[in-house]
Order: sequence, then structure tokens, then C-alpha cells
Amino acid sequence: MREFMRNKMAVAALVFILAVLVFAILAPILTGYDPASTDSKSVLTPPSREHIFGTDRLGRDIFSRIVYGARISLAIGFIAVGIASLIGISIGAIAGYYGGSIDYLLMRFVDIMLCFPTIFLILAVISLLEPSVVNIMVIIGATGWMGIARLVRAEILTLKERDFISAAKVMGAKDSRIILKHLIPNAIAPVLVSATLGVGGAILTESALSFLGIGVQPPTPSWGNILMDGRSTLGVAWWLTVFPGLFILFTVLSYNILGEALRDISEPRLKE
Amino acid sequence: MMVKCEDLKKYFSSTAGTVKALDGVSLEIGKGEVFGLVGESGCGKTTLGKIILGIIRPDSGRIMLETKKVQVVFQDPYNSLDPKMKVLDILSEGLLIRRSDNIDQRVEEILDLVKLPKAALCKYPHQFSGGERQRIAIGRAVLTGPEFMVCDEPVSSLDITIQLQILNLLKEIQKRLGITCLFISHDLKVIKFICDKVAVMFRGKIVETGSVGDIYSSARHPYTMALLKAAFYDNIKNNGKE
Amino acid sequence: MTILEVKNLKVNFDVPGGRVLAVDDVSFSIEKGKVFGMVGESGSGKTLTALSILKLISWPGNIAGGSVIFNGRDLLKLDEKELRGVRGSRISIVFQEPASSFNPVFTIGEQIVEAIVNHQGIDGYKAKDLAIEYLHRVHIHEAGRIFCNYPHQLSGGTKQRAMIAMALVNSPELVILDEPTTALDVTIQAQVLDLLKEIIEKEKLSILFISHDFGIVSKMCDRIAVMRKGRIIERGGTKEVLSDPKEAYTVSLLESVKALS
Repeated sequence: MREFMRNKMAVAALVFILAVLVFAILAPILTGYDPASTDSKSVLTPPSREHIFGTDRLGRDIFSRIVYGARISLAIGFIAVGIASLIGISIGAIAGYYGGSIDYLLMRFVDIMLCFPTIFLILAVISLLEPSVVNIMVIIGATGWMGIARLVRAEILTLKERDFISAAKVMGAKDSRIILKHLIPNAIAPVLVSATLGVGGAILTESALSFLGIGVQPPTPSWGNILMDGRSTLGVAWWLTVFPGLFILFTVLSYNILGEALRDISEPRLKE
Repeated sequence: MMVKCEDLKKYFSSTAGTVKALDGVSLEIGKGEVFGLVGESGCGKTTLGKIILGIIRPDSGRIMLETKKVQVVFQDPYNSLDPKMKVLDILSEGLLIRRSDNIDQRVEEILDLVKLPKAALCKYPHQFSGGERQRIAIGRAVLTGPEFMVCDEPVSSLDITIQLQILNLLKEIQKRLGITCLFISHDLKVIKFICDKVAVMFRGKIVETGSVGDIYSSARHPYTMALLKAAFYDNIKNNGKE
Repeated sequence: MTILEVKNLKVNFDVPGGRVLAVDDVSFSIEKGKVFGMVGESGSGKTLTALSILKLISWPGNIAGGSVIFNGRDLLKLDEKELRGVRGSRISIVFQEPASSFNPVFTIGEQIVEAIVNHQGIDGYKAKDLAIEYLHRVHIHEAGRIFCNYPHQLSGGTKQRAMIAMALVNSPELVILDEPTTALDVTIQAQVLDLLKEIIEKEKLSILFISHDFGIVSKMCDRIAVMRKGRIIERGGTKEVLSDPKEAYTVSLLESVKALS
């Protein structure tokens, strides 16, 4: 903990992340405007006292769209990473613990999954299914678990040789107990780092999908589709692009910095 | 007979060739005995211990165990306890698996037996010293009421004053509960202190077996004699440099 | 004649909880041609004391005070260049772990020759002869073959003998032995201890012998200092300390050793 506090960038990143989280949760209180309500009288107005981030071509308030959009983008980030972690931990733990042909088959499966260019895989699947928020969460999660699986497998390969695992076996613990109660809690540290970095990645992916029009569909706001709206009016209405862009930039950057800081802390220190 | 091993063989293959970890080992341990297994590194004693515990399978040979109630105490107190579990959970795990009742009460009794304070229960292993962790490991082993226990170098990692404490604790527990014990060590002095019988291992074979009294006074195999000479080389009963 | 004098040595250690005084005002002296033993359990500060003599302490440890007088100079006040002239030639050290003492990517011979050439400035061929001569002196059979071997090809006992050869090759005035046999098998321990005894007597070396094993220290040393929690709590001639220990800690240490004999 103390070490973390010394890393000023990491603390700043954490503060920013928490701030965005608070914004997202308190969305209705923060803005007076319904993100979906249009106002034909204030179309494409620049930032002003009534609309601090300006309005879009339908007269919707950008600030409220961004704050509500934070809910969507963050939710997708967290849940996609949650799904990826669940899949990755399960596969990694089973491969690492049982070894042999199970390990071989599972790791070849990981290799195959890694061969697909993720973005095209997602594009293909989304075009077949409808681009709902849930589908996006699931598909991003289902294509991002491979790194976690390898990390968990590596940890478990070393952990399972340790005496406390042999002691548990002699104690009569079943495989499920050993994996769930002993191995996974001790293998979780690198997963936390990976997951933190993964949230940034998931947010970026969602933004890309929404920007391309196959992610979150309007009128539901997401940072990506606000960007999409701004494409056509970039020359005249810079605020439609700059504000969501900055939010994406700083949010993803913060998760990356936080993830790196966590990795530095959990790196094994020099033995005495 | 609590344990009977017949012609156990275990080979490990690596890029360097095949290692005969166990090359035809037979032994018998009687009920209530404290049986010592001594040898230097690489002789196969730990492999034999793991095979008897069922952690490794032999390539050939037979083992007969009179009981299923077997427990173990390992060498490295820094590795034999789950670092993420509280002492209470570590101790009660065996009872939970067996769905015993009175878990809390039995855990407290064990704390008394291994002389640890009640406050230890909510702490984590890293908050304890090596000797204290070994007490926790012994408590964990004894709590499930074993009839046979394998102790694999249980005091080798400890300072000498603590070694004596832990050995005395093991002695006391073994006498009181009548547990049959296989005591593995490279240290002949420790074996002499705690065991009734001893088998000497060298390169995967047992070269000599006998009661502690016989072996230590009149060993017959040259390796045993070399071990004894080396082990008691620094016998300070002679009061220092000659 | 005093060859080494340590005065009021203090070494700090930075740990997560704060700063620990791992060596607390330690003073002792070693006479020429004598073997001085330091006994203590783990954490007593004996290894740190030995490393401090050659200023081999690095973060999280740091030398906080005191002096180490050798040949009229305070080693703690020397700069790196001057210290390099002392380490490995005037004072050498044999560590506990034969496995990690040698660089795995160079042969034993290359490393011993490097030690010779760095300090004696003789040419490679003469250095090689000298190295092989010393390998013989530590009773390594087939010294020529071992010279060309890599560390991983050697057994623990042979590596430790090679380490001892490397420590002696520049005819040091003082040799520090830090648990030289602890990591070895029992039968090999006895052999290496015999070797050390023989060499110490033949070459009339001055030795600082560190061990947790009272039995070994009492067999090898003329004088003993008992360390506990960073301090020397008792010292004296070996016979005196063994027959008439004055501190309670020393007594309990001796009791434990005797009980297991």
C-alpha cells in the first residue's frame, strides 16, 4: 500500500478512475438534461453555460451523453473483463493442474484462439448477431481470455509443486477443493494486473465498435458512438469529437497506469 | 505391521539419462514404532516418503498400509502452509473435509498441545517464525487423529535450539497418541534422538537396517560407518579443538 | 600480532516494518595465524558482519558506523578501487552456496585464472599453472579436467574445494569462511572440514570462521564469539567457552547441541 502511494502517477490514475466511476453512478443527479432528449432549437451549439460540453446535431446535451455513456462504456469494460477472467482462470487452472493431454489440448485451443485477429472476429460475430450491449460484453470477453489463461496456468504449474498442496492432498482434499481453495487464491495476483490493463483495452474495443456503427446503437450513448456522430461535423463542431475522445484517452491511460503500478508492486522483491 | 514395502522401484528420466531414485526398496514399520530413514541428498528417502504417502506412484513393487489415517509434516515451514489461509482454516481443513463436529473445540485443544496461543488462529503463516509454523504444521497433522505419520526432515530448516523444542514436541505427541512414525532426515544426530529403528539409504537402496542402539554402536555397512563418523565428527563432548 | 580489528561495527537493514539494527556495535580482533569463530543462529548478524569487513553490503542493508582496521587502514573508508585491491587478494571469502558462487557461463579454470590475473598481473599461462597447482592442493583429483569443467558439471563438494582454491590462490592474509560446509552432504562436510584444517595448519592462515554449528566451530577455532541479535554476547578461547559458558543463551545453545550428540 505504501509503495503504491509513492507512485504519484498511479495515485493520480486511481483518483481519475474513481472520479469517472462516481460520475457514471451519479449521472442523473449531475445533469439536468435527459441524454436522449432532443432540442431542435439548440442544434450544434458550442460549449456554453447551459451546455458545458455543447450539443450535437439533434440538440442533445453532450455532457449528459458523456456521463451516461460512461455507464455503458465502463460497464462493458468491467463485465467483458469479468467474463474473460472467468474463462481464463478456469481454463488456465484446469490445464495447469491436470497437465498431460488435457493441458496440451487446452493450450492448443488457446493457440488457435490467439491466431484470430480479434477485431475481425468480433466484427464477424457482431454482424451475425444484433449489436446489443450484452452481446458486445460477451464477445469482447470471449475473445480476450487467452492471456489470463496462460498466466494462471504458469502460476499453477509452480504452485502445485509446493508442499502445502501436497499437504492438502494427504489431508484428503479433492481436486476441486485444491484448485478452488488453494491454487486459485494464490495465483490471482497476475490476473489482477492483467484484468486492470484489460479494462482499458475493452473500453477501447467498445469505442472502436461503436465508432464503426456496430457497437452500442443510438440513442443509447456510449463514448464511441458520440465520436461517430462527430465525424461528419468535425470541421464545425470540434466539441463532439474532442470531449468523448479525451474521456476515452484519459480513462484508458489511467487503467494502463494503474495496471503497470500493480505489476510493479506484485513483482517479487529481492530476497535477503 | 503398519507399513510394508516390497521391492519398490521408481525411475525418473531426464535429458541426462535415467535416475534410479528407488532401486528395489523393502522395509517394514511396526505399529507404534518411530522408524528413521537416513541418507544424504539424492539417496531417495524423500521419494520413498512420497510414495508411502501416495503422492507419487512407484514404477513397480508393492506397498501395504494398515491404515488410511495418514498424515505428513514437511521440511520447509515456509512452504507447507497455504500463505493465503488463516491458521484457523489451515488447522480445521482436515476436519472440514471429514465433516467432523466440534471443530472449534478440537482446534483449541490442538493449540494447547503444540503450545501456541489462541491469538494465532486469526493470523497468517507469514506472521510466524519457522519454529511456530512447524508447530502449526504438526498441529494440522495431528488434529485428524492419524495412526501413521510421515515426517520429512521436519527440523532441518530450523535453528538448533528450536530443533530441540520441535523434536521434544514430536516425541511427546508420538508417545501420548501412539502414532506410528516414519522420520526422514539426513541428520544422524536427530535420528538418534527420536527414533527406535533406522534404515540407511544410499543411491536408491537400503544398505542397513536395525535398531538405533545396534546401528550407532556397531554398524556393519561401510557407508553407515562413514555417515556415523561424519555426523559425529564435531562431537563437542570432547570439549573443543584437540 | 593483530591482523584485523573490527571496532563498533553497526549495520542497518531496511525492512517493510522500518529499520533494524542487524549488527549492533560489534567489536573483535583476529590474531595472525589464528582461527576466530563466530557462532550464532539465523538472524544473529554473523554473515552481515563478515560481508561488512569487505564492504559487500548493499541495499536494503547499509553500514552505519564503526571501523575495520586491516594493515593499518580502515577498510570502510576506502573507495571501490582500493577495496578491489584488497578483495580476493589480501582478504578473500568463501561463501556457503557452492552453486551460486561460481558464474555458470564460465569454466572453473577461467574464473580462477581471472582472479589470479586481476591481482598478480602474471600472464595467462603462468596463471593457469598456478590455478591447477592450487586445485591439486585442495585434493581435487584430475585437476586438469576440472579446470576445464563448468560449475554445473561438478559436485557440491568439488565446487566448494574449487572455491577454497580460488580463495587461496593469491596468498591472502585473511580468509573469511562463511558457513563453508553447511550446504554440503554430511560425509562431504567432514571431508571439506578436514581439508580446511589441513590447509589452515600448513599455510598458517588467519581465519574468520562463521557458522551456526557450534560443533564445527569448536573443532576448527582457537577463539569463539557467540552472536545473538546483532551483538556479541560472549567470547573467549574455545575450551573456556565450552566448559564454562557464562551467558544463559550460550548455555542453552550448548545444551541443545549436546542433547543432539
